[in-house]
Formats: sequence, C-alpha cells, structure tokens
Amino acid sequence: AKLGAVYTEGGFVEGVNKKLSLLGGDSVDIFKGIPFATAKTLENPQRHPGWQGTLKATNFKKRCLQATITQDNTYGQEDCLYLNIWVPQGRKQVSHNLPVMVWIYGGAFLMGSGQGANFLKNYLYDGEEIATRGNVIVVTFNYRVGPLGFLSTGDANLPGNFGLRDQHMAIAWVKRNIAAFGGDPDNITIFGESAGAASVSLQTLSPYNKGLIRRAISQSGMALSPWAIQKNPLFWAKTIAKKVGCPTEDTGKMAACLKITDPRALTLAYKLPVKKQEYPVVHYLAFIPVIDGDFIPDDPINLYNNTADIDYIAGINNMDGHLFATIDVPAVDKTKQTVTEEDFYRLVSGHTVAKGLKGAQATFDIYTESWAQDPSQENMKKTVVAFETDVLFLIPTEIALAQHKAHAKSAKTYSYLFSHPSRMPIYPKWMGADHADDLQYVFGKPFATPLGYRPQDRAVSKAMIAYWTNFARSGDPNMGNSPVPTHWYPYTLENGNYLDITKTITSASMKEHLREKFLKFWAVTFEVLPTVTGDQDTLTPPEDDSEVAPDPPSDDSQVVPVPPTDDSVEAQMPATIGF
Amino acid sequence: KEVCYDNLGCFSDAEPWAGTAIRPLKLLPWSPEKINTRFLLYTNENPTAFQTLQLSDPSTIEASNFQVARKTRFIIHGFIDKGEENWVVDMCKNMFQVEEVNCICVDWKRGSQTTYTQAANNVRVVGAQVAQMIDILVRNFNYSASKVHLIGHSLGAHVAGEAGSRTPGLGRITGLDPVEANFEGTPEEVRLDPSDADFVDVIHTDAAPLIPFLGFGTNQMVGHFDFFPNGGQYMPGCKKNALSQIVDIDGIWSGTRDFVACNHLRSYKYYLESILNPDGFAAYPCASYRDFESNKCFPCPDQGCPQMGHYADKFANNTSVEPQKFFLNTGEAKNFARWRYRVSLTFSGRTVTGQVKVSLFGSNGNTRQCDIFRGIIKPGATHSNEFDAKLDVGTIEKVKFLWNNHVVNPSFPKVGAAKITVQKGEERTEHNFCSEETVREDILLTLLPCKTSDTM
Repeated sequence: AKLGAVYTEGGFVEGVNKKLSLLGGDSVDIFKGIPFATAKTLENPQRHPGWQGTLKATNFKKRCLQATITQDNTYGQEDCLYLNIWVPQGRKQVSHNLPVMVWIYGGAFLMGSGQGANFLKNYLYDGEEIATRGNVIVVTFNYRVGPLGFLSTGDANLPGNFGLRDQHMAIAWVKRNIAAFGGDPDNITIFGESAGAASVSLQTLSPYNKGLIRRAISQSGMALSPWAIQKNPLFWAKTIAKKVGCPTEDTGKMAACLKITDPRALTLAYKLPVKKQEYPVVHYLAFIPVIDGDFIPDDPINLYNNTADIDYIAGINNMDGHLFATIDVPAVDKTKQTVTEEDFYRLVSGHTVAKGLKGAQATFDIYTESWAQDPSQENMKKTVVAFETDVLFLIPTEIALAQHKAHAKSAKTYSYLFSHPSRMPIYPKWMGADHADDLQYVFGKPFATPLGYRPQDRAVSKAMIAYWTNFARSGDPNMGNSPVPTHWYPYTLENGNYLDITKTITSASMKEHLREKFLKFWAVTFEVLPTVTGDQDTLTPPEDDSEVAPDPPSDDSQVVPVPPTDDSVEAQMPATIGF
Repeated sequence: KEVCYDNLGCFSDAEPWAGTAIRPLKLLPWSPEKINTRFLLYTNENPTAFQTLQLSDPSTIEASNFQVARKTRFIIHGFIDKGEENWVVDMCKNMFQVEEVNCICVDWKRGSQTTYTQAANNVRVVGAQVAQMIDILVRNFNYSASKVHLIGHSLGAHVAGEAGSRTPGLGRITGLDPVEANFEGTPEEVRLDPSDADFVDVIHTDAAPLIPFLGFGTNQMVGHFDFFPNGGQYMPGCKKNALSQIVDIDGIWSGTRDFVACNHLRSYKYYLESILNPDGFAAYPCASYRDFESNKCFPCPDQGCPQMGHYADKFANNTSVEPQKFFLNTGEAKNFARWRYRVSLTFSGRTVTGQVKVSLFGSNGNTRQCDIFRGIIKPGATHSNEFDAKLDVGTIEKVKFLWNNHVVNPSFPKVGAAKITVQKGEERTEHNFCSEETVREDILLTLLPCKTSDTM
C-alpha cells in the first residue's frame, strides 16, 4: 500500500514509495522537501502560502544558510523551511493513526540540517530505519541557525529566537497535517540531540506548544544547559552590526539595517573561536536562544509547569564533554602532552565565574580529590572530560529531570546514560561515548550501512530504536511495537533511576544515583556560595579584533558547474561532528 | 500585443522594439517578479556587506546607509552576468577609496541568464525599475537626479539608457561597451544615446563587426563622449592562446569567460582601474585611430583631454552638439593606465643607418626604452615620435639615448643627440635636453636639461 498524492494545507504533495524487500509487501513512503513556513531575514516565520498543482517532494532541500565548517564561506540558502516525512506501510492498507516522531537536529544552534551529514548518499538523519523498525512516522525539518536564527538585541526590535519559532512552526504543521499521512496528531513526540535536545526542552517549556506535544526526548542537551540561553544578546548583536556597517547606538535602527543586510554577510560576521580563546568555548556560543518574554517567557527553571503532561526521556553520553574539552584543553587528546593543575584550574575558573575565587577553589578541590591517589595523566585527563561533561550536560540534565518529575501530573519521566564507547580510532583508549556518538545508533546506521559495524553495535541500535519508538507510541519505553532487552524503570526523585545503554543491556543496566557527590555539590554546595558579579550578564568575552570578517566570497561556483540539487556535496563531513 | 506592469507602464512588441530588420523576433519582456531585480547597496560604512533596497518598500532605503548628501552610482551588469560578480563589487570598493558614495549594484541575473533576445527585451523592464528607484529617491528623499550616475556594461548599458530616457534630469550615464546585437542602428528610444542623461560617456572595446569577428560591442557612437581605447576593436593582451588565458586566471570559469569575451570585458576593467588612476587614461580627440597612431592628435587641445572612465565627467561642460571621439592606448594586462609622451630628437655625429631608443627618467621613476626612429641617422636631422609609458615619470630629470644597427662597423661610428625635446600629452610645455657628446652603438648617452645659453 502507498499514499500517492497527499492533500495538505499548502496543496497536494507527492513523495516516493520505496519497497523494503523483493518478496515482502512492506514499504516506506518518503516525502522530502515539503514547505512548512516562510520567513524574511531576522523575522518570525509565517504560514506558507501554498502552491498550485502537485508538489513533487522527492529531494532534500538545501540546509538553512550557515557557515561552512572552516567558517570562511557559507552554504545552504535562506529559503529553507522544509520538512521530510517517512511513513511505514504494510502490504494491504495504508497506515493509520501511527505515532509521530519529529526530529530536531543539533549543531550548537550554528549549523546543521534536517537530513544531516551525508555519507555515500546515506544521510545521518534518514528516518527510514526508525520508521520501519518502530512502525512510527518520522519527520525531520530545517530551522534557521547562527545569526540568522538567533540574533537578538534583547528587546522588541530584534527579539531573536527565530530558529525556535521555526521549530514550533514545524511542530504545529505536523499537528495540523500529519493525519493526512497516516499519523496520529494527538501522539506527537519531539526528539533531538545537543542543540536539538535543548530545543526539545525549550519547546516543551514554551507556552506556544500547549496541546501540541505529547512526549519528548532530549539526547545530550537541556534548556538548563549553560550553552542553551544567551544572557547578553545585545553585545553580540552589536558585534555583528559593526562588522556589516550598521548603526549600534539605537536598537531600532540597528534592527532595520540588519534586516536588509546581505544574509551571507551576517552569517560570516561571526566566527566561533576554536583556538587560543581566553575562556572556555561555551562562552563564545553567541547566537543561541534568549529569554524574549514571549516564546520563552521566563528563565527555563521557572517554566516546568508547562511540562506537567508531557512524557519525557532525557539522558547524556558519558563523555559528552570531550568535544568541548579538546577545544578548551587540547592536551586531553594528545598522548605526548600533559594536562597540568594550572590547566585544569584555569578551566574550572572559566566555568565558575559567577561565584568567583571561592567557587573556583571549591570546584577544583572536589574534582581533584582523586588525584592524590592516582596522579596519572589518564586520570587527570578523564577528570577534565568528566568536569566538562558534568557542567555542560549531566548536571543540567539531572536538575531538569528532577524539575520535570516534581511538576508532573500525568507525565512520566525516564533517564538514561549512553556509554557505548566511541569508535573513533584517533581517540585515547580510555574514551567512552563522545558527544553525538549516540546519533548513529538512534538512526539505525548499523543496519542501514552495516559495513564497519559489529553485532554488538546492532544490538545497541536495535535497543535504542525499540525504547524510543515504544515510548513514542505509549509513553512507556517498555510497551509498544518492539521487544526490549530489559525493563526501563521511571526516574524517581529518591534514587534517580537511569538506564545505562551500552552493548550489553540487562537488569543490571538499571542504575541509581548518577554522580551523586557531584550533583549535590553543584545543586547545593556551589549554589549557596555568594555570587560575586551580581549576575552573569556582566560576563562578556573580550572582542577579538584580530578576526576581521572576510569579504563575502563571490559565488562563482554557481555558474559552472550547476550545483547539485541536494546537500550531498556541501554536507560532506564526518558523521560525529555536531554540538 | 503588449504587457503592462504596475508602476512601470506598458511594453509592446511593435516597431521599433520588434518586427524590424535589427530586431526581428517578436518577444515581450518578462515580468518584474520573474526577473527579480535586486538593488544591492554598498557604502563606505558597509563596503563588503550589501543592504537590499526594495522598490516595494521605501523604508528599506531609510533603514539603509544611503546618504542623501552623497552621489549615487548604479552599476548594472550585462548578459549572463550577475550583480554579485567580483567586478561589480570591486567597482564599489575602488570608489570607496576615492569618494563617499552610495554604490548600488543592480542584480538582474535572472533576467539576463536566458536567451540573448529575451535578455535584450528584459532590458526594458529592468531599465524601468532603475528609473522607478531613482524616482523614489527623488520623491521620498528629496534627492536630485543630477547626482545619479548609471554605469552599465554590455546589455547593462542599454538598461541605463532605458532608465535615463525615463528619468528627467539624470546626471550621467557611462556605457561600458554597449552591446551591438539588437541595438546598433535602432532608434534612440531603444538604445543608449546622448539624450538619456546630461552627460553620456561610452567606452568601446569590442567594436569589430559581430559577423565575422565576434565583436560584441557596438561601433556606433552613442554618447557625448565616445572613447575608443586601442582603436576600440582589439584590446592588447587579448590574443593569447586559449590555454594560457584559461590557466592564467583563477578558475576554469573565469578563464574561459575571459578568453571568449576578452575584448568585451576590458571595458569594465579599464573603468575599474580608472577610479584609482585619475590621470592615467587621458584620451585624445581625433578623427580616427589611424590618425591617432600617426601622431596627428598630439598634444591635448587647449581645453585639455578628458580622462576615460570615472573622471570623464570633469569635461562634461565641453560637450558639444556633435558627438566626440577620443582615442588612447592601454596596457596588455592589469595596470592598464598609460601616459603618452612625444619625443623630438636632433641627431649629431656621423651618418649611419640604425634604430634609436630613448628612455625618460623623472621624479617618479623611469620608462623603458622606447623606439623613436629607424632609418638613416643624419646629423642635424630632427625626428619625432610618440609612445605610451607605463607610468607618469613626473618631473623629467634626464633622458637617455641609445642607438644600434646590428651591423659590424669597422670604423666604430659615433652618433649623438644634440637635443631631445620631450612633451607630455596633457601639457603644452616642452622640456629640452642637450648633449655635446656622441657614443658608439649600444652605449647609453645621458642628456641633461639644456643650459639657457644653448637655447638662444
């Protein structure tokens, strides 16, 4: 059975039906590049006006305009608000009332696309494996990133959060239209990783999504993460304005000028420093969501009333912080380089600015306690990674889980720790799961591209897809379409249950009190220390004048040869890259 | 048949726009939405990041860095080109080095990257849109059309002509090698012509006939001042073999494009360089290039020579009822500017057959050795010639003389220059250099300024 042309609010759309095997009747309907909204530069998205005739949704659209990985050019396009849908189909009748999973990609709110990185024409965020194994509908989509997605003056002239509003438009579109594709509009699960995970969290907290979201999954990211909310957006807006020749004294004039400025120039006017920066790199993530008093009406910690009826899974990778650690303390990955106490103290100071010297000292002391017994470089380097993992991912996630549980009415709360070690050959032997290592398993790469994967990897992937899709179906990861290797018990405030996801998942994989000593330190001990800077708003990374924005390059490549119609060339990058 | 577009008026496919020998195909221009013309503003405040001005929303002009106190120059690309090409933006950047200006690139690439005949018809709509933009500036911002300068290359020149014919009081138009096909020989309303602005200057660089020489530009005089560098048909440096031309320039596309249309593209390259070389493109009024090369048009007339390119309008008051033709020579490659000198030489010493070279040394540097004379060198005889130097040497301090004939001369004859008179093209003043010495061949003779007594 297949859908053929589907009628949506914008008009008819037709995808492609892909048979899954030669003999069986199972297939998957795939729609690529359905428009869900339109947006002008630095403005909120609007409903798409629709189209005439039947739209052929057969190719992924270009990603949203963003800097390339080297940050010296742009790729993608400004007209980018499109989504993709995978619908599993049986032999006899078209699917009906299926659960819907909507993916929000990560990339530090700076990069990324709905289809993700391309490897031999297999896209990282291809929804086919999840859809067909879990018998759910999968939706992925683009949202604006970088300055074009999150530039804000901190007032009504440029409120920011354009990328978040794009995400909301996609979710709302799914709510209105997914029934026509065989989905259940009252059973929508949003899930995402890194900045996508923080976005998932923020979308559940925003009053705009009331009644739209039934369940949510955050993989390695949270609204409470220190890299999820920008507290001094005006500083960064002025930085961009100076670079592109816009006035900076009056935010009204600044905003009007920025809106008519070349979007590519806006994109290239900001560069994330990845070498020799004075502070941990997290402080330079300039264009991220803001508290705008509307879409995000208050500090996220005060918005958990809005999640009372949204079932939630949240977890991290056990070495999520490694990606940041390699930038902040490069010696971490170098066998022949050593991490020193001074290195670590400087890192700690950079993350505890609000509490000044006392904060830094207390934090340094608790994290270096084990150094007396084990002064090896391996232990010191692991400490650096553990510290970054705690500060940026683990502690915010644990606090959020507690908040979600505390405010829950009908909602269930689940927690996990992904610890299947990274398979990057260049990493140290003690390496666990780095940031973004979970993506390939959630999206079924050990099945879609089996070469290079081992049976244990397929076991991890199978388990994750089973838990995720069961949860999407029923709100309970143990009940649904797929068998699971062990029962996953809900999170409780008393013992903090979590499932340890790795190659062998047994009843012993259910664990408690994850990093309890450090959680107590951050949640209680550190919090009661006196704040020395008034508030963190006054912390402003220094402006680096040596980074002169390059001229927007001439786009001669578009003349000859004609660029491919998808991102298959531009998007070439290692699958594990991602924030 | 005709089509009408809001704010732009109606466009028909009747004569002279179509159905004529020059424009046989009956085509109507595309709609503004289809052409999707963009007005990209660069200013001294935002030299690299354009701001998009919208005809439909004058508040975008208000939000931009547009300054009413400044001149405004529109740069309009031609067939196939697009507004973000390097040369268009480079024009703006060069201007920012010499003036404060509103520089607007008119990007009509969608309307130009189609069949030639359709693009030639789309010119009318784009021209009307440029006129509309100027009209908005005049009405909404009290801006004077006399401060507007349109610079168009190829088809873009006729866009400027169309805009000019719709804009009363337009200050200036520069046509960079206006395209020939579909326009040469048409009535003035179809093409660029002197009535389109107070001052219209044109640079011709590819004026050889389209058939059989593939010259894209027009030979027709269509401005108040028509400049014909190197004669206007074949530009030096454009005859390299295909491979070296392609490899010379970064990227296959740029190289191929430059090879195929090298002469045609030179027009904007000369203009680009003229911005930073206020006196490097002096052009001589002359009846023909043959006369110019025969040294019949030197020096500049009393009122001076106009500079081809950016500074041509300094002579705008010298326009006459009759269109004027100007000639000059340029270099083969980047740094095209040249300064023309005349050298007049009186021989001394023995009578020999040979060739004579002269180089000039001045406060700003020196020229290479330039051929002045070939033939019988006879003492007391005087010969003149002109050459184009790569630089303005400034105040001339000395002249060096060299002769040779590549014949074995057992008697080792000596030849000298009793007097060399040097005159720079733009000046009336002649500078005299004297020497009483003679030299054997291939030996340099230095002449210093003549003593007063020697000139009596």
